[in-house]
Amino acid sequence: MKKHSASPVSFGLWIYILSDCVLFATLFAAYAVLHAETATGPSGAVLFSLPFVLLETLVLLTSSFACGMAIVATERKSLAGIWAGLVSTLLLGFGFVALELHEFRGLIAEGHGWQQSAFLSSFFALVGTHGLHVFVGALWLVTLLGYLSVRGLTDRLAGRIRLFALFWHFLDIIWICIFSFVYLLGSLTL
Amino acid sequence: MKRAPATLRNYIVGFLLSLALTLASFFAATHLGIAAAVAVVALALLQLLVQMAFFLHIGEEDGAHWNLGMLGFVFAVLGILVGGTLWIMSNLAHLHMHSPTPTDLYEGGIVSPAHELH
Repeated sequence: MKKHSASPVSFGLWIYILSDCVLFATLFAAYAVLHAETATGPSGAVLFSLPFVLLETLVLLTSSFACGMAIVATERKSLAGIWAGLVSTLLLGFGFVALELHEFRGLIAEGHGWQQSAFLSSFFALVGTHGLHVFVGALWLVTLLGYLSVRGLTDRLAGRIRLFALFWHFLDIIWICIFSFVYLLGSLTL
Repeated sequence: MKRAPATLRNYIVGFLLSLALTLASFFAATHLGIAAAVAVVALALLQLLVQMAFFLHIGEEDGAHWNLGMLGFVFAVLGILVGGTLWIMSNLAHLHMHSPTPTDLYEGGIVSPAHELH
């Protein structure tokens, strides 16, 4: 990564990520205010299945780690390592989205969609926005893999992989907040 | 030029620490009951620090002072945003705690001036 060319871009991505933090903070604040407003419907303590959410968390955390492995391989210019790292990242990322959609579908099928209560509206808004980020990040990764398969590892692509990793690690950090503050704390209010 | 140390060891340590913290807060929440709230919050904050240090390499990249400056600014914004929201809304809930009796209401559910004088 050449300092003069890549630095403004990575600084720009950094500013985007920080402004995305503000977006998530508003959603967290809305959830914190509304989480008790269940409108005679069930609360999070009744709805959340913690073992399932733990599985989601481990899948996303492992995906973040696989992305780190791809970065290590990029530093070492090991093409096989980059492929292994990025493809694992992608599969685990899509796996996470699939698990989340499965959870959402279960909730909606039982009549606990976003229209039932303010609690569920803010829950779906917060968790759904994160899931959308993961999905879009996975699409970004597909384009990187396409570039890699056509042109091989260029300096430019190495820089882009580093930018992607920054975004992907950020999404895992947001998920840690959702896992802890929404699911784990939500399950305690029995 | 100082480069972020994207070493294998760094990522493995970060991954193992995150894994341990995740499992610890999961078991705290499922086994300790309501007392686990403090532990869950503390473990979450710890894990944020671990991931920022070992995965994002905060403060070790080029132009670190700019990145850190932005980070500090955004943390201040987050504090005002989340803290302020909770403060205002809890105040509002507190003021509405003495729910008006039907005689305090006009038609349409508006609280009467007499009620507001209390």
